[in-house]
Formats: sequence, structure tokens, C-alpha cells
Amino acid sequence: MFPELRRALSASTLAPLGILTCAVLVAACDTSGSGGSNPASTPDASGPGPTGGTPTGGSGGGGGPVGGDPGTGGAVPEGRFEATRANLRFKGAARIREDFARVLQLPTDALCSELGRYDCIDDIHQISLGGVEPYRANIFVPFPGVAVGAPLAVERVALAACGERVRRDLATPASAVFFGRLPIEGGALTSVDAPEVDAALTRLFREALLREPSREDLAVLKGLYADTVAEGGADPAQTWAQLACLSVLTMTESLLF
Amino acid sequence: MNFDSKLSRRAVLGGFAAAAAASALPWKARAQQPDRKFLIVVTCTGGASIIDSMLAVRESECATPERLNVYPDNMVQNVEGSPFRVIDQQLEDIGPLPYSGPANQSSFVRRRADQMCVMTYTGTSVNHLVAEKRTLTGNDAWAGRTLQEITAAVYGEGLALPNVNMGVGGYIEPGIDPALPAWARAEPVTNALTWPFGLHGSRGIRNAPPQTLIDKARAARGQLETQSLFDKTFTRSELLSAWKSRREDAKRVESQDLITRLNAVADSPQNPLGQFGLGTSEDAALLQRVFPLSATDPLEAQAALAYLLIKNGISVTVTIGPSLSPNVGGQQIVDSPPLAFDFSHSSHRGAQAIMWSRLLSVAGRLIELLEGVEYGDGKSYWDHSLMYFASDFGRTRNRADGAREFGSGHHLNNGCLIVSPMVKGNTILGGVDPNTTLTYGCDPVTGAPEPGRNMTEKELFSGIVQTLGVSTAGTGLPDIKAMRRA
Amino acid sequence: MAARPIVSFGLLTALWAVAPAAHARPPGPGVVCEAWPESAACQAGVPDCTTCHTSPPGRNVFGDTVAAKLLPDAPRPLTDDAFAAALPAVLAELAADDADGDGFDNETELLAGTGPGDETSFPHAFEACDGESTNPGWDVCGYDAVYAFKKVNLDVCGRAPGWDALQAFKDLAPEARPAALDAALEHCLDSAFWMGRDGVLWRIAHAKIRPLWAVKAGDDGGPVPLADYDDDYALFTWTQTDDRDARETLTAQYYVRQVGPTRYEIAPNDQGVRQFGQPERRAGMLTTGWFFVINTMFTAVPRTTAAQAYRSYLGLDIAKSQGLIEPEGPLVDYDDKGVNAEACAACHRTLDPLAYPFSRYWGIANDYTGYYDPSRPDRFDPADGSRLGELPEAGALFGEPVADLLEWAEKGANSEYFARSTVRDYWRHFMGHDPTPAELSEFEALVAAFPVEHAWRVERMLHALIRTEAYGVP
Repeated sequence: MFPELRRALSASTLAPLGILTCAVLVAACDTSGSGGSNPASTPDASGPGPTGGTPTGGSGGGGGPVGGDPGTGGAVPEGRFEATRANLRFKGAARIREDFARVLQLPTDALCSELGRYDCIDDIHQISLGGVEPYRANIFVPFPGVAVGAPLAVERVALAACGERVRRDLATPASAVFFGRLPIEGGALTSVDAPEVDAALTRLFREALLREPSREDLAVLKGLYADTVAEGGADPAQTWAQLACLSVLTMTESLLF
Repeated sequence: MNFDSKLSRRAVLGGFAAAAAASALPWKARAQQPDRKFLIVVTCTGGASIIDSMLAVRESECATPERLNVYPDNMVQNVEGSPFRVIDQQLEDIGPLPYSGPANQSSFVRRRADQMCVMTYTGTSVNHLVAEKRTLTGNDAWAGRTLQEITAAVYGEGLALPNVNMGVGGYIEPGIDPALPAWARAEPVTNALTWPFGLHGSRGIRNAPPQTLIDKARAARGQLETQSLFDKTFTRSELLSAWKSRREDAKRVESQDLITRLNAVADSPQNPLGQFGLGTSEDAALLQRVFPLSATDPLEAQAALAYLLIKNGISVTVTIGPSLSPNVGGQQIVDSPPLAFDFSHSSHRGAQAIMWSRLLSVAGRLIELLEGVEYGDGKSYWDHSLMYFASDFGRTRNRADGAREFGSGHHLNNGCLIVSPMVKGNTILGGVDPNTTLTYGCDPVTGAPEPGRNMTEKELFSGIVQTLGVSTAGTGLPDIKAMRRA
Repeated sequence: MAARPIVSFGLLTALWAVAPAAHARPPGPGVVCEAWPESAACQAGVPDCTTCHTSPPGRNVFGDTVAAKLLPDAPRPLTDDAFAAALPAVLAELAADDADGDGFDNETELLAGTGPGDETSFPHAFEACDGESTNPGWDVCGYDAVYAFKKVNLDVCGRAPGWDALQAFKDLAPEARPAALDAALEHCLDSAFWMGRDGVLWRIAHAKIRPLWAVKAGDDGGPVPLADYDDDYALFTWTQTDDRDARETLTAQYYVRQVGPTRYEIAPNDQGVRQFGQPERRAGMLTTGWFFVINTMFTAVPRTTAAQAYRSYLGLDIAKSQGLIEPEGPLVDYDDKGVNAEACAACHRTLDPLAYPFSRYWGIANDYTGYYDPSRPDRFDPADGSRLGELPEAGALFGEPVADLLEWAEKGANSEYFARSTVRDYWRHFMGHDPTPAELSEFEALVAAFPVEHAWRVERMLHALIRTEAYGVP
């Protein structure tokens, strides 16, 4: 029995809208995507676990507190850094279509097609991307969880869409969105440290992730240019721009919200 | 509280957890594990009636033939050496729908009778979605897992896509056990022809950089995420970790070249694979011969993909079956009715005949393909397989004035077909009362018919699980020894 | 007519699944709610049947435990009175036990509204901040308006706000941000992503309408055109948008046509829609041609139709033993389906009276689809049911009599169930899941406000929904 919980629950049912229920209890156990993340169903939950601990959570049995908080009886640090609800959701097929189109300033039907004729999101990867197919397959709600094909389908869409954005930017720099001012000569960047490169990546980060890139972020993507040059392709600048765009658009920060 | 049963249940769940832990072994090591069993679920979407196939009743056997769904004596054939019956007929229509052609059951049954077991049972729901799911979970008989999830959890560790499901409605709903390893959950597929295109992150994308650079970009992404405030802030999100875990699974899918090995689509002007750097399975020509309508018939396309998934060591359980959409314009105006077996509401006999015929035909060809591939122990893939024809439920039995065609509703009472070298062949577990056309059950150990007894979804579920060699000790599931080949 | 009490302990599921209305509350939930009035399940209306059952009559481990303790020597079925008298003591005796072994005792779980017989269901509350957020990017200790602003744009417009729009929002004084959030919501509620074809509202409607292209009539119709579900999507979208009363989902006697990507209008004289039912016999989404085609089809007693209506618009799934509220009177097997068999009657005592009012509307019947015909049961062959001629039109909803489908719809639309079901539809969209025990108080506050403060207007309710901590606290 948890008297604190009882009090909290009692209070929560009476609380006006906006009052946060505040019992400190077990949170879901992060099992790194194993799918078996329920601490209660872990056979050895007979350890300190939820029943054996205090309202701040025990530390055994596959349950206990999650994240960086101290365990039972420890001092709770002032302030908090991690999100406790952490109710992230996958954008899914419909939002990806809309949001990639917004970021890249492309029509939705120009994002990606398979074999040049089938829309990637609507026709081919809808279900993998957490969408529905109500009219022909009776799939009225998305499947729970993440399909194995989801990360691959996302990459295909992003890769195709980024390729199209880069192609347009380089073909018509005057109306470019990100990469029109890259200092390119003979297919290569004249300098990866040119301010135009930083500017392009900054614009990409701002629109895709709604934040500024850090110095470290820029360094990572500039390092990717070195890899691209080392590969020895014909147009390393264009290839790199596409890859940088792919990297950013398929970050968890871009796909989950 | 029944403490013992609870402990047993925990022990069983613990076994699952151990299986999940084993999945942490290196990919290659797991992929080499032998002696797998394969479960192929063929969904009889809409409700296949067993008394319109293997348990058909003749008019002369029934006291009130004009009121019940019994057939003229000359339509019901016996299959020599087996207890099964079949109904072959030449259809002139499917009720109001235009169709002309044969509906055949005998070819399959004569060929497979010694590997066929029909188990009667009475379900618990006549709601399509609910009944469909219960026929796969045994009405939550084992932690709410589906038969496919159990098969995947036990035999599929280390495989790229252990559980692929091309069903619809309740047949594609996941089970409810959160302890199931993520890799054992079904990968949903709605279009067997195009789904493989999504099994690689870049191949087939026009002007895609080489794979080495794609991998560099992924590595860069990983670095960006590591230093991202977003990932640090939402570190408790289960979805965040699940997504990253799935990325690793996806890399394995990609590395096995499934975009090619599972692709049965031929290069053509309509599908210019070559232009996009895509290839086709080495079995494409074979599959085109065996399933010549796969370009237009989703069921044939599903069977072709099922073969590739099993034969290539990708999956241990594959679910195929007709959707509720009709198949039109392939060979006739209507090749398959809308609503699949549920078109029985409008035309019971026509719908049952054409759907049974379609499913048996496709299933028979899939079985023959699997028979032709050695598993590695001197036996074929089929020797390791079980095919379960899962039905929503049965159909109502009444008809008016001996009508040859009539509409039917949903009925809990039915029976289902299981085909496998591992089942006791030429077997009917239970029987049918010719005066009611309702089925009755049997002794689950001896198989002796027991009029008045109804087999349950749980017993059916248990029999299939056990025939697949999965231990059910401690689960409380009954021993359905009568289903298994000695 | 008062609801007939349910007497069988074997039907304990029904005790957990009855209506919250005082007149219809059998003893089970009442006992629980008297013992623990603060129980989250009681605040939400009813403890769910899964409190005691897996699939009725099968019981879960908690149900088994209760059953074993409850007057073990008394013959079954127990009377209602005996059951009600014995249950409190059994619940009290078992309060400190942990039937499902999930680490939370039965009383705690009943209080939290989680399943005492389900080890995967257990209380879960959020950690409170002891101090302030130290996160430079998110206010993890309170409602983060910037976080919510991004989410509203994604959830309702389908697109994040964009860099410039986000900066403008951030530049606002904190007290100005709520209004800006409301403005963003208002803007997006008119987007194609929200209300256009295959938009959010359409996606919410999919499971209610259950479209099937193969038998679609009208534009982009299938090979066997029977009815046009575009009309259903249009009507649903209409009732959920602007300042319209969502109850018209069940009570509208008009139809709606889509005249642009985000424009809908009432179809004058049914022009532009494909409906054959008489206007005065219409009950919104319950009487569209499509609803009858896909649910009633050819059946005389349209149980599937009633169950779909109950599930989709009132949130009660009979297949899951929810909402089993029996009216008085015997269950009659009008169509010889054997519904009086013990295993069947538990649901059919509720389902069949629920279905009778639908029985006068034709299913698949060409230009008579959806047509109201008082004599419809008489037109069936005797083989479809020996007593169909006696099939009444009057039935029951929530255990109370209704004369016809219009009364059914009116009663349903004005119920707490309809309010809860509607709010839950949107909660799922905005949160991605059903309300968790820790979120229940905010959810129930929305349900309570929907008929009153929000006057059954979805868009008004959504303004409150995006202000919840469940939505805005990272």
C-alpha cells in the first residue's frame, strides 16, 4: 500500500484542471527497444521493485527509477533536466509528408517516388511509416510500435527529397532554399569552412530542427564532406549537400515530437 | 488466488524473456540456429464454412434438408482413404456477381489428405474483427500472444523479419503481451509486390550516393544525435530508444539485400527496375510460373512473397489471405468477390465455393514450392511447416425451401483446416451432426468424437502451438495430443 | 421502466461495465465506488469489465480471487442482493493483496483505475520537480508553451511552425503566448491536414465509418457500388468543425457535401449526396446509406449495426463486454439465432434491444438502402427467423426504453458516454494514447466541460485540451 499514492490519486481526482498529479512512482523501464519494457512482467520483479520500495521508487526488479535520478532514499537534486513525461510520438506518414515538404519547400508530390511513378509515402511506404489504409485493407488506425521498415522508408523519402532540393538549389541558385550559395568549383567546395557553408547548414538546422546548429554540429557535417571527397565521386559538393540534408532530416529530433 | 498457476505463468513469461535475451547474440550466430518450425496462416477472411467443404452434409443424411445448408448427394464427394468430403462445382455466377468457372476442392484434398486435420470448434464472437483476433490468440489463451508471435518468439530469433503479416482486420492485429520481444512482433505488409522496395535505405533512389557514403551520413547522424539536447532531454522516451533499436534491425534487413531477394516483380517498361538499379529475386521466373496472376491477384503475390520469406530464411511465420476488396478484371469481370467469404451474406454457396477454391489452390501451390526446397536436414521446408486456415467463424445453417443459393449470417460453430506433415493426417477432430449441421468436438487426447462437446478457441490454439513443437508446460493450456502426428 | 438488475455472479463483467447513471447502476460498481469513492474508475464513470475478466465469462486472476471468496457455499448464480451484500467484505479482505503480482495491491489499483488482475496495468504517476527546470531547451517542470506551439502546428497543421514563426512566438511575452497558441490552433483547424480528405478528422472517422472501396458508389467508386461513404466523412467533418454541435453526429437530419479541399456545405434537398432515407427518419451518421450497407447488409436484426454505433459514438464495445446494461423484460430470440443460450445472453440482453430500433432501416437494397420501412421485418423470409413478425421497433439504450432510432440517437448524443467518446477521440490524436491513470484527472475535466463550457463544440474543447499538462509538459 502506498499512502502517498492514495493521497495523490485522491487529490488528482479532485484537482482542478492544470494541477499536476505528483506522486513519485515507478516509471516505465527503458529496455532499449526490446519491446518487453514492462517492469511488472519481468519475472524477477520480486526484488525491491515497486512494492518493496518507497514512493520514490525502488531500484531492483527491472523496475525502479528510470534515468539519472538517484535511487531510493537519495537526495533529489534541485531542478530537473530530463523530461519526465517524455511522451514523444513519431510524426508518421502524414506529418512527414507535410513537414518534409515545408522544410525543403517542395510540393508534397515532388518529395519521393519509387520507380519514378509510385508515391513513396502514399502508395508504397504508408503502413511502414505508421499510416493507415482504410479503403482497401481495413487498416483504420496505425499499428503500434515501430515497423522494421520505418527507418528505411524514412531514409528513402528523405534521401530522394533532399536530392531534389539540392538539385533545384544548384540549378537555380537565385531561388535556392539552402545550398544555392555554396562556393563550388568543378563540383567541389572551394572551402568547407567558407561562411556560405555555415549559412547553408544553419538554415537547414533552423527549418528542420527549429534550432541553431552548435559548433560541434557544424563540425560533424563538415567532416562528412571530407568523407565525401575521399570517396572520389564526381560532384562531391552536391553529394555532400544531399547527405548532410539526409543526416539532419532523419535525426530523431526531426522525426519524433 | 491460484498461486501455482500464477507462478507457472510467470515461469512461462520468463522463458519468453530468456528467448529475448538470447536475441542479443551476434546476428550471424543466431542466424545459424537450426530446427526451426514455420507457421503459415491463411486467413479465411469473412468466415469460411467447414460444412461447405470438408464436413459437407448430404441431403439424404439430414432429416430436414430443405431447411438446412446441405448439398445434393451427388455434389458431395468422398475422398478415398480419408474422412474428408469435397464439393466441386461449375459456377455460373456468385449470386449477383458475374463469374463463370470451376470451383474445386478435390485437387487439394486428394493431394494433401494425409497431412490434413480438421478440428471442429465453437468460437466466442461473431464480430469479424474480434473473432479474427481470437482465432489467432485462442481468446487470449497465452498471455494474449498470437500464434504467429509465439512462433516468432520461439523460432525466429536472429532472423531479419521473423513474423510477416499480410492479413487484414483482426488477423493483422498484434497481440497484447508487452513482454513480447519487439523483433517477434508482426511486420505488417499491405502490398506484397511493392513492400520489398522499402527494405533498403537508398537502393533504387535515383542519384543516391554510394552505400559507403550513406553509411557515413548515418554515422554523422549518430554523432549529431549524441550531442543533441533533444535526445538528452527525452532520454526516458520508450519511443526514442525503440526507434534507435529499429534502426539497427533495419541495417540488418538492408545488409541481407532483401530489396532484391524478396522482389518478385519482373523488370518491365511498367516497372523499370533496371533503370533504378534494382534487381529481382533469383526465384522470380519460378514464381511467375507457379503464380502467373501475381501481378493482378494479391493473393498469389502474397503466396509468392511468403515463399521467398520462408525459403530465404527471413521469416518463420507468414500470414496471407484475401482482403475484403474484390479481385476484378484479372481473368474475368469478377475473379473474387468483395468481402471475401463474407459475401456469403449475399450468396452463400457461390462465395464459399469460389473462396475455398481460391485459397486451396494458392495454398497447394505454395506447399509444393516449399516441398521442393531442402531445409538442410534431409527434409524440405514444408516438412517443418504448418499451415493454418484461420476463419473468423462459421456461417448460419438455415435456408428456405431447399434454396440452391441464399444468404447466410455469422455463426459461432465451425471447424478449421490445418495442413502439415506434423499433424495427424486424414483426421477429423470431432464431427458434424447431419440433422443440425452443427459440429461437435472430441476427446483432445484420443480424438474420439464426443457429440455434445464443443471444442474451444483455446483448444484449437493449444493444438497448433503444440504441433509446432512449442512447449506449453505450465501455461494451463490443454494437451491436444489428438492433433499431433505420433 | 427501470433497468433489470443483473443477478449472476458469472456475469460479474456486467457489474463492472454498467452505466454511471444512478438508475442503472447494479451493485458491483456501486459497491466499489462506495468503498473507494475517490477511485479514478468511479470518476471516469465505470470500472471496466477487465477489472475482473479476461473475456467473459472467463475471469482474470483478480476475478478468480474474488469469486473464490464470495459466498463459496452459496449456489450459483447469486442473487443481486446476495452479491451486493457479500462483495464489500470480500473486497476489503482482498484490498491488501496483490492479485496480479505487479507490485501494487488491489486497493491501490482500484483507486488508480488500473487493473488489479492485469500485471501489465499498474499505477503510474509523474515525478514532480523539486526545483526548476535546468534544461536550456525545454521547461521540463511545467507547461512549456513553445513546446506546445510546435506540437499544435504538427498535430493540427501537419507541419512544424517554421523558424520565423517560432522566433516570433518566442519573442512574445509569456502572458501573450496563450492567445498566440489559440490563434495557431484556430488557423490550423481550417487546414486541409485537419479537415480535408484523409485529414485528421477523416482519420478519426475511419474506424467509425469502416470504408471499403470495393463497394463504394459515387466518385472513385468500386466495382460493386452500393453506397458512398464520402457522405459520411463529409457529415462527420461538418459536425466536428467550426462552432457546430458535435451531437449532430447522431442527430442531424441533413447531409453534407464537400465542395472544396476544406469546404463543406449542407446539401440542399440532398443534392450532391447519395442518400435514400426519409429526412424525418434520419439520425446523423447512424442512418447513412453506407452505415446500413456495411453493417446491416441483409440482416433482419441488425446487431452489427447497433454494436458499431455503440462502439464508435458512445465508446462502448460490447465485444469487450463494455456497456452491458440490460433493460427489463425477457430476451426474445426473434431470428432463431440462439441468443438465449447462457453464453450468448450475457451480451445479447443488452445488444438485441439496442439493435431493434435499427431494424426498420434497409441495408443493402439498391435505392432503398437506408430507407425507413416500418414493415421491414415482415418482408423477410420465415427462414430468417420464425418470430421476425413480432420484432419490435422499440428497444433500449443504457437500460432505458427508446421508441425508435431517433430516440436512441437523441439519448445517446446527450449522454456522458458520447461526451467521453468524443473527447477520447481527440485525446488519442493529440497525446497518441488513451488517458493514462496519471492523466485521468485532466481527461475527466475535459469530459465534464465538453457539454457545459464547450457546449458540445469540438473546437472549443480543443482549446482546453492543448492547455493540459498532459499535452504541454515535456
